[in-house]
Amino acid sequence: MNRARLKPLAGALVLTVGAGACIGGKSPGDTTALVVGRIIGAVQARNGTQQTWYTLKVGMHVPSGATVQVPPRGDVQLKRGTLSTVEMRPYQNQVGELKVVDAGNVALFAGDVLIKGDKQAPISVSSQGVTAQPTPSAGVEAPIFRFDRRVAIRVGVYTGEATITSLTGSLPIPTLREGVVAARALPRTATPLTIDKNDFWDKEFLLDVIDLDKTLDGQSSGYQQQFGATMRNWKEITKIAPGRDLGFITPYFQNTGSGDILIGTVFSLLLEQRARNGSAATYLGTLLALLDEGATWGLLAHEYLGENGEQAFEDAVTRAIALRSGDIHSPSGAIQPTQTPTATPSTTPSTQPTPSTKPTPSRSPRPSPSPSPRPSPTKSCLIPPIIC
Amino acid sequence: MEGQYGAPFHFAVEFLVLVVALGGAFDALRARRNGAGRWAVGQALGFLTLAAAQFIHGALIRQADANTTVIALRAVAFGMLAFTARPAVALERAPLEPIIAASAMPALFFSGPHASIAVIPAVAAFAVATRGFHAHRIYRNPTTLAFTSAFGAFAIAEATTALSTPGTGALLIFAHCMRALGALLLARWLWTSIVQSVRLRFVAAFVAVLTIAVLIVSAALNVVIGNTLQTNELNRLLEAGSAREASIQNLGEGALVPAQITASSSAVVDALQKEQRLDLSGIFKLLPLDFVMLVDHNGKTLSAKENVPGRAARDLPVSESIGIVGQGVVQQARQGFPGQTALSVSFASGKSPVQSQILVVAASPAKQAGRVIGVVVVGYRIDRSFLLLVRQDTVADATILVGDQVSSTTFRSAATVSQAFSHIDFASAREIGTPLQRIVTIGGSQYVSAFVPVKANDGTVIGLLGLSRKSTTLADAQRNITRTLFLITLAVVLIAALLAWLSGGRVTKPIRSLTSAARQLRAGQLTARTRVESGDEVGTLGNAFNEMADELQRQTGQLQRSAATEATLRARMEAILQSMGDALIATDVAGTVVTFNRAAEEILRRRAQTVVRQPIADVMRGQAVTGRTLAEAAMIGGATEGTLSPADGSQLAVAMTAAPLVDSSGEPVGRVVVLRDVSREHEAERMKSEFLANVSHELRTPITPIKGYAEMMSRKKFPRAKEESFLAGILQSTERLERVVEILVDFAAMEAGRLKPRVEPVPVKDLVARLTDKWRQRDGEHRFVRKIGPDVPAIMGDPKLLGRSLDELVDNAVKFSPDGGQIEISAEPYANGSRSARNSRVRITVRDHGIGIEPEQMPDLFQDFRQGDGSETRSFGGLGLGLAYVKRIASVHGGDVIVESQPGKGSSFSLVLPAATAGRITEVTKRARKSR
Repeated sequence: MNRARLKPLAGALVLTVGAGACIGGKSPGDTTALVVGRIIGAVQARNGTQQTWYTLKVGMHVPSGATVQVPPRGDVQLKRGTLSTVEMRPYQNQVGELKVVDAGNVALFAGDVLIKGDKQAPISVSSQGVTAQPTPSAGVEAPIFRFDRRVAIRVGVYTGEATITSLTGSLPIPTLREGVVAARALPRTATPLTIDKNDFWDKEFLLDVIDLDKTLDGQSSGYQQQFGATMRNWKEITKIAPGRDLGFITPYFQNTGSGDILIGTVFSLLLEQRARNGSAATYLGTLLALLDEGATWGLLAHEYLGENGEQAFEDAVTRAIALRSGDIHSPSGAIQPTQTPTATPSTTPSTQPTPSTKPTPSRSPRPSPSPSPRPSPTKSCLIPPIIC
Repeated sequence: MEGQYGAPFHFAVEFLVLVVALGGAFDALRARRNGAGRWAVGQALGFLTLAAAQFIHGALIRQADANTTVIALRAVAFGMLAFTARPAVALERAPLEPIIAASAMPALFFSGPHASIAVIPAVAAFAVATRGFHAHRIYRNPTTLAFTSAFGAFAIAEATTALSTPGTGALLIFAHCMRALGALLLARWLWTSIVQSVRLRFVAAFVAVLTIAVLIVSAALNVVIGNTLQTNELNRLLEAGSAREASIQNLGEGALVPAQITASSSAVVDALQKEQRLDLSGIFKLLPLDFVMLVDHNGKTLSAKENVPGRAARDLPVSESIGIVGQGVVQQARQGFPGQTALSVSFASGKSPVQSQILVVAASPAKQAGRVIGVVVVGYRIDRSFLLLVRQDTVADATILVGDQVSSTTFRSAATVSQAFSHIDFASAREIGTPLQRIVTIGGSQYVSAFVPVKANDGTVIGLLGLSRKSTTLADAQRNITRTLFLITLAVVLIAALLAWLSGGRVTKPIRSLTSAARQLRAGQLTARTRVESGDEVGTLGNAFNEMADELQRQTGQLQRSAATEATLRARMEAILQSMGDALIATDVAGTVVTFNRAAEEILRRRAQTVVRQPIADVMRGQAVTGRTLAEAAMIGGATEGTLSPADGSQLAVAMTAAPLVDSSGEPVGRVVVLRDVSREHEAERMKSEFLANVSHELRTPITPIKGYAEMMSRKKFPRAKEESFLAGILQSTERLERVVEILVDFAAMEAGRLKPRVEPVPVKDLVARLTDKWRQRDGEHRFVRKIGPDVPAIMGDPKLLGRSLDELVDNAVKFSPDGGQIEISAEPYANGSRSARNSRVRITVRDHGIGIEPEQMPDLFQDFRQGDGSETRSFGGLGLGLAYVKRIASVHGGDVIVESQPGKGSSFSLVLPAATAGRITEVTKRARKSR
């Protein structure tokens, strides 16, 4: 064929493909509708006030005003652009239901939703007068949080930060924290994320935490059974840090199990070694306070030691138990010298007021957080030497 | 190259190069057949060797890319191509040895396993590319560029192959990509030859389409079969993994019974009651358990032993027992519920680092009086011993992963483990709890892997059991498929190419016939016709071609005839122009000479080729009578006269006629000028005037005395003697007058062709005697001498005319001789040097000793009206017709006039006449009778 004739044909082809691409897809800034990205089960939708339900399929557009119903054990993911998503799963054997108010707003009637909100196309979810939306932050492009509508509203953040807004005000929820809103009353502070080892999203985002918790729980329990639930003298565990005065753990003997003290001590020493600035005593106090607020060792390890630190932490605890029981004898103790200290946590620092400022009645002997030796965390620094 | 896509890719590349190499060989042989030099044979052999290498390697007869035979064949192939690379010019400009030497240098730095020999084809290919590059610098066309680039790509491919190792798959893929690129570029090079023949195009298109189709089918077959085989293999492995995972669960079930039995034993109950340690290692002799523990009701371990094969049982590491005791299954047993599960435990013992291990644990409460007093825990380690059994059963390396860490494995190399499990998302398997299947390439070999989640009794995933097996089945199957497909494909393509060649020949035969006829026609062979006898488009084209040729032949014939006619006409016109007596000069509109005939050359004394394209003003110089130059007058047009100044400096009187030249539309295209030399006319005019004056004079001169004497005698009586003297004068003048009149009459008769001499034998002696006597009587002032030889024969002639001729000669002699001068009249036989002709002619000579004749006057002596002195003041009378008259009389008698003269000494005029021989007399007599 003549080359001169090929050029206009090629141009027409490019235009056709381009036009098709423009017609067939939605740009990230498109706010007219959400697109179905993934479906499990027979997910149905109903447009506006129509009574007719139709079955959703991957790639279909869900217009504004549409109601989406997810059957038990079903799942649907709605996409806004390429980065923002709303994923809905019913709670237990109930039916999940939400309404697409518009592309950036979803109203939840029943079930749990997971929001991944890109800065360019944020999605907020609301239910019973409570609205949660991703908070723009410099470090995280697309915060991920969950919004559970059960007896109360629970907003838990896996990545980034989200803000809960209610009639009574608003509360920022940092990474790995949650806020539970009952009767539209906002909590005073965000609390550590509650992890359910059987929850789909917890397993998706915090599987290592779950695994670590399980291991540490077993070890803690076994330790206490073997060596007693209550520690009497810090010298019982002096083998885990030879030559180190571990007297700072003494105040916690009364209200904290020996297993948690052992784990907390190892954790503190690990933080101290990594930070090279700050004392294990300070760290231990802060960590145990967080534990009191509902955090787990796995969650704390995930937050402050990062993915690489979790394994090191688990190994250190195992080694500490082995040292305590006499299985091994190590001059360096449970905490192995690190060649290249990497203390960067996997997540962004929390900006909420430290929960350690709150009185901890269950562990009264614990020294007050504000005076020394516990560090005085600043408003933005939970564990200052490490993450500030 | 192996794998789902590697094998088809390898197949496609090698087959592509094979087909192109065969094409190159065919093209070279075809070139040789068409008269190419010996290089074509070498090139064909080079390509055939390359094809052989491709066949051996592509059909997996020699599978390895760096196989010695394949390398050797490629080296030979590229070497032969390097020595025979077209075109020959490049050979002279690019000496081969330095190229090879230079390109071989990098070979010293090659460190691949086959570098020492595998680099040779790379060097040879580079040499070919270098020579191609030299050719490209000369010819600068896409063909040479494609040739150069093709072998450059081959060189890179060979060098990369030399560098590659069995584990460097990326390098081999790159090498094959370069080889494919080289093949495509070589195909582009061949395309130049292919497009020169419809038949070759037909074959090439057929082979190309077939090759592509076959490659696609082959690749699809390879992929489909490979996929099926891989899927089957993966499924089998997955089933095996699932079975082993189930066996892990079964281990727990199996361990629960001995745990319960042990827990119910009295020794255990006693020990628990007393909270004493109890060595339970004896159980290892009964059951292949790995460990056994005795835990009191508080969860404190009273005893924990592990089974060490071949050695005595030893204490279980406390850290491990703590990990076990802390598990839910033990807590549950402490509540009185036996249970079993798989679990992962981290522990450290001795100097070994922290280990994570999967254990299968069964815990059974020990009770007394319904109250739980302790727990017996037994279990198995899912360690390397277990995995070795798995490997023995499944013929697959087994690995246990806890989290992302390898707990234990049967792989011997940690690097192999790392490669086998690279890019596998274990997290998702752990999250979802579904098996994983993967195919990975380790060390150039494919491994299929399946990972099965190992779950605790609560369904949580505690680890993964991985099975990995070298996929020999797939490789073997692909090898067999590739080999078979390669052979079949090659056979199909070759047969198809042959059929395409044959059918292409049939299809293109009419076209070739047409092409041949067209070539003949182009060469001027107008009788060439094509013999296409088909009813299709080609037949129509052939008929149209033949009709076109007929028409062309007819029109050419017409054109030739027209051209011949035109040439004849042109020649005729040219001849007319050239033979014109008048000069003809034609100019264009600007006055530049375009035509110049021969008469013009003569008049203007210039050659035509020197004046054509010259301005007429430079060529034709002279003055018209109107005062203008001749050139100006020619531009004005009309007829005029003037004086021409030819190139030799002379002057010439000319009559000029000029007229415009116009084309068929009436537009002026130039001028034509005709020049005629009128100098002769002027001379004739002058001579005529002179003749009339002479005639008047000659006629009046005798009349004057006649009239004078007659008047004198009429007025007065004179004595008789006086009167006789007067009468004699009258008679003499009358004779003179008569002679003038007779000459004029004879001359006029001769001019009119009416003069018929009455030929008869005339005795010369009598003739001369009468003449002499006559002149002696007439002229007493000159001496007349007669000389006649004795043997002078008579002549044949008219006595009267001859007498008058001789009379004229004597009159001239008298006229130009001084008084008293001697005039000799002689006669003798005339032989003109020939003895045999001595008596055939007679020479009658009149010689005087007068003023003689100047040599320059000699050519004009016998012209009409010509006299030695033609001026108005001439000293001698006469008509100026005497010698012309004599000449003509001699001519009509078959004789001639000979003149000899010396200025100042005299002249002799000889009349040479035929002698009166018997034959002539008889002839004359017969003629006379006939006329009568």
